Amino acid sequence: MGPDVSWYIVTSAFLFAVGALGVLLRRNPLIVLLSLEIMLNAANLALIGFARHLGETSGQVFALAVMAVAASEVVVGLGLIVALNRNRIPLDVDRLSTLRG
Amino acid sequence: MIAASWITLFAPLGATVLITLGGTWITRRQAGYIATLAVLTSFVTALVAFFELLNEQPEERSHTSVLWTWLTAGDFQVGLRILVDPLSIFMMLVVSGVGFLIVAYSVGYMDGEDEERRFFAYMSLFVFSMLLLVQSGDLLILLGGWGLVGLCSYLLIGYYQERPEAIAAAKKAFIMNAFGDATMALALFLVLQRLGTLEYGGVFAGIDGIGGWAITLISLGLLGGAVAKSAQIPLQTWLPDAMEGPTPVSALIHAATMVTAGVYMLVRLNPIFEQTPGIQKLAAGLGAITLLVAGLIALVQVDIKRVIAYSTMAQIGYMFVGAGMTAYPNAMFHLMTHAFFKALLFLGAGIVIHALLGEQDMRRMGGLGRTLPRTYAVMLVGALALAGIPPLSGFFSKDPLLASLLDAGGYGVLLWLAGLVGTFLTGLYAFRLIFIVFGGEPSPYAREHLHRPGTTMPALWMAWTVGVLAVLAAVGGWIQFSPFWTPITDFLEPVAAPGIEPSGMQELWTSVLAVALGLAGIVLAWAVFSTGRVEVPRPAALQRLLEEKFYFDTAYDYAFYRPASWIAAAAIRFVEGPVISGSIRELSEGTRLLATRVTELQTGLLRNYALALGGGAALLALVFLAVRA
Amino acid sequence: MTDWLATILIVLPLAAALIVWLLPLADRTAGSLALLAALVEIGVWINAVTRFDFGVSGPQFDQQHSWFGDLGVSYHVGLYGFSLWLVGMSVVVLGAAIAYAFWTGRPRPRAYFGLMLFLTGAVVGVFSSLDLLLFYVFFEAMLIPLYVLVGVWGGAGRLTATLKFVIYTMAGSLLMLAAIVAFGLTEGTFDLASGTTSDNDLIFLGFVAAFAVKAPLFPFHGWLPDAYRESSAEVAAVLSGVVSKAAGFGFLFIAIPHFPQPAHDLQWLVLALAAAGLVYGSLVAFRAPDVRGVIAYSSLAQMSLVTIGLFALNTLGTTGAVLQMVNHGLLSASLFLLAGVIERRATTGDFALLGGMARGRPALATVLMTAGVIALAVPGSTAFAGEFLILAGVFNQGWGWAVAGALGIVLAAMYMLRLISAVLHGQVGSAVPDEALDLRPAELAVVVPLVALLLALSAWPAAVTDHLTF
Repeated sequence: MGPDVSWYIVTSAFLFAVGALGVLLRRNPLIVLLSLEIMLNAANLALIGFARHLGETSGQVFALAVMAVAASEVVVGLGLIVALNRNRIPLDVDRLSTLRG
Repeated sequence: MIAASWITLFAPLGATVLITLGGTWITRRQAGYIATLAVLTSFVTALVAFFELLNEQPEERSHTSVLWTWLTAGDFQVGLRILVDPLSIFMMLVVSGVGFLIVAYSVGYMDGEDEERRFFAYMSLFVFSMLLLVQSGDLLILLGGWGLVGLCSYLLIGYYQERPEAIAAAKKAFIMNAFGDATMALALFLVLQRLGTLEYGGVFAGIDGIGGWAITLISLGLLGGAVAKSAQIPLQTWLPDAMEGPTPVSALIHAATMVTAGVYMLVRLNPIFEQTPGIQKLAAGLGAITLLVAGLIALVQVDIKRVIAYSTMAQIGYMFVGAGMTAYPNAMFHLMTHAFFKALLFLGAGIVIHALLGEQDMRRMGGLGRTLPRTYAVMLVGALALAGIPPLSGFFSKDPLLASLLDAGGYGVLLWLAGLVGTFLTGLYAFRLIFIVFGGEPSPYAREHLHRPGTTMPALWMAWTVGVLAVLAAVGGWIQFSPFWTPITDFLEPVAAPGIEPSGMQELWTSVLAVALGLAGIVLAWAVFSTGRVEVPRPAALQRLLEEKFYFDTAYDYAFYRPASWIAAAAIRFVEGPVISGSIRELSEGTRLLATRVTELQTGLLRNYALALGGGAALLALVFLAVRA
Repeated sequence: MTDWLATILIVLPLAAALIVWLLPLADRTAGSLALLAALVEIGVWINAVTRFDFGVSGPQFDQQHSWFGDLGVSYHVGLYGFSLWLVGMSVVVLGAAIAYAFWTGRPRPRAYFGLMLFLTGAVVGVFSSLDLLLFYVFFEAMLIPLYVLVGVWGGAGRLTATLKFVIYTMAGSLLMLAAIVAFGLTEGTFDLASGTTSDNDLIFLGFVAAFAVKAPLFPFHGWLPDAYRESSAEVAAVLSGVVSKAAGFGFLFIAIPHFPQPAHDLQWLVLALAAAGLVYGSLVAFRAPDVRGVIAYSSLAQMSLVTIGLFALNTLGTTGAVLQMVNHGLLSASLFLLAGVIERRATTGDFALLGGMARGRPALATVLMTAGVIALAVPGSTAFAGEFLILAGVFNQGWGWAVAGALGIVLAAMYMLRLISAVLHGQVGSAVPDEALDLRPAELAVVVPLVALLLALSAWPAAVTDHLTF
């Protein structure tokens, strides 16, 4: 018997918490993006774990979709960061608050 | 007869429409002729209807006719209904007859005014309205005529529309009358609620079934309308001010016809009023108070028209006393003779005013007897008729009215005494006017400004109409000399049978006393105002009380006008501004403030949003778990 | 053909609006076309009257087509006897307003006349809808052109005026929408001709709130003084003459018959508001400093009186209220158009600067005097007939209401005479130039028909009251 599904879920939750903390606490947009990826992959882990557990494939299909979204998100996010850098805007999310009400 | 009566009613309205639409196509003088002709048509057709009515048996002399249904609401119907019976024919004749003479007089009097067309349009409209009032066979149509005569009175008092006093007087007259209209309307609501109809026949048939406080309120409401229209205390203050209108208006509306409408109503609606003897006594009492108060005030007035106006109030007071004490035919008879001699006095005064280029202050007149002898003569006839000196008309109508009061018990005797005192006052103020205006040497003003009427066309129109009225004022009373011959009482019997009949002795003693007191008044006036032999003691307080007209105007100003103005101003200041406009201002300010607070949540920091999102999700999860458990 | 009359009355002005607005017509042509459309509309209405059978109750010229079948919503239009008169009054007043605007000249006439015609269609739609949701659509459609007409073509303070108007009416409309949804879903139908009734006080109050804002009733009239003062004369005429009647129609056709129990239970509330509005509006009108102020607040008083009649909940009151709605539409329109005429000559409506305009201007004096005395309900006039029925009706519900009404009538005499005198009589005001002319033929052609209709109704108010079917 290998590790049952709960191991995967706990791992996934742990990863998700790490990612969420990263998003909430870090200021460097690069790190925030990285943390976001961790959160997405935590979710993927949970999806696949459940898929295995239930013997269904739909979870895996979702995971694939998430990967695709994550990839495009990285493209946009990195593009933004490059643009910020080019315009000599400091890479600090706390100072990027133009949308403040 | 019915057709003739409809023509009587609508001929003057036709003149109004014609003059209004004709505009400048009609010359000023033609407008006068059109109006005169229309009112003459009314008079002639009224005569036709009168003679046709005479041909019928007395008990069959009542006809109604509906031209079209004026107003409906469900089962409730009001037709444009006229009632032709002795009472309405009587009034039609008085209104159209005297009206014709006065409108014809106006052709001369108003000659050269700026807007004669407007004047004659209004005058014809007035005659129409007055005829509608007296011919109506339905309480609602009566109220319609009631309001329309008030409207015409407003229009004509304010005829000189650039004069602020005239406009103020017009508004005052209209609003006091609107008050009377309102009480009448309330009475009508009650009638309608109880009986479901406002048509005279139906109302009179069912009126004794109402009873209780309702019938008292009905009578009281109707009396409110009568008191306002007839300028009786306590709604009398508009009438003296109404003298701001042209003199023919004062003669027609504020002496001969409209102001007597209250008397007409008391007589016409006698089946209603007789249900409530208390209210009838109240009407008579108000009339008695008015005739005394008005007679006293007339003693100190200096404006020639105002003296006659107060005299009108006093004479209508007599009619109220008569109509209130159920001496209906006497009241109507006095209404008729009063129309003659009072119109005569006003029109005579108009000639005087014209001759002095518009001056109305008696203190600047004097000695006109020599320069205007014929005017003096007709005014003398009018004044003697007013004072009730035989054989002029006032004697025949006023004395039987007073005498009949003796048949009405203790209260009647009280009123009788008041009436006799009034007779003395009448002689005094009427001849005060005559002696001041016509007696003595011509005043400097009169000498300087006198403008003797010539034999031009306008002057002749004024002359012949006044002449006819003088004859009527002299002999008009001979129609009835109770108790010897009483055609008017007999004629009106089917509609308004008198409730009190004086004995021959009562008539005799009343007449002797009344004539003696009237003569005493005249002699006193002669002694005081002509010869100056007697100096009247004039206590300052009394003089002031009379000159301030018993402070009615002042009291109403403080009691009604100022509070209303004050409340209106307060409503604008404390409600309209802060509450109504303020509420929406506060609302928008509040919204803005709230929005400012809410925007502060929008930090622009992703992490805050994410935290809120996560926190919210967690909270929701907890809530769901709690609910599940 | 006959079946289509109600639809034609709605669609004709809407189609004309599109044509006038979209086609690149010359200014003059656009105006003429709009006027022509308005006149044709009046003609169609006259045709409808001649074809109307006053002997039977129930809607006529009705048409029904399913709209949202699932919800029971349909395009259902038709006319009752009473709505026929409201439609007639509306098309006449709107025709007069369009004619007045045409002869006065307004900037950007294509848009202006397009909006006016659109408004006409919407108003007729309101008065002929037999479906609750359709009613709401027309009710709101009516407001859109008004926002623009007040906000773009109004006077100096037009933005505030529009803002207030929008806020008040939106608040009322949203409450009504909620009430409509609640009513339709609980009763399973939105059809108004079906006679479904509800006992729900809250839904009833939702409708009452919307109509109270629209009428307006005290204390929901905050939008009224600004909107009536700042809009152009003919828009004010339409606003107070026609649009306010949508509220009366709503009370009469929706709030009262479909909520008999709540209407009965809450009668005192509405009557109290209306009586307060009557006295309050009359008092404020008595102190208003300008012509439009007096007419505006008198409009508040008059609509309160109409509401009193409707909530008398008996034949007398209802009949009187319908008559008075027709009267007040014509009266208010004549008075506002005359106010416009006066303002064109004197550049102001301030009483302190006006006066003495009667001298040398007989037509203006006659027309204003006639409209004024009918407005103060002089006995014998059609307004008197309406007020008499209303007060006689409410008298049966308690004499106190009738006394308040009678007080209102005396006050009406006071404020109306004040208006007449301040404009026409006394010394010539400093703002009245000597060369200010009497009414021109074009102005006469607009105002005289309205006043003539009032006089005709005064001679025969039964023309309306005897021809009402419900």
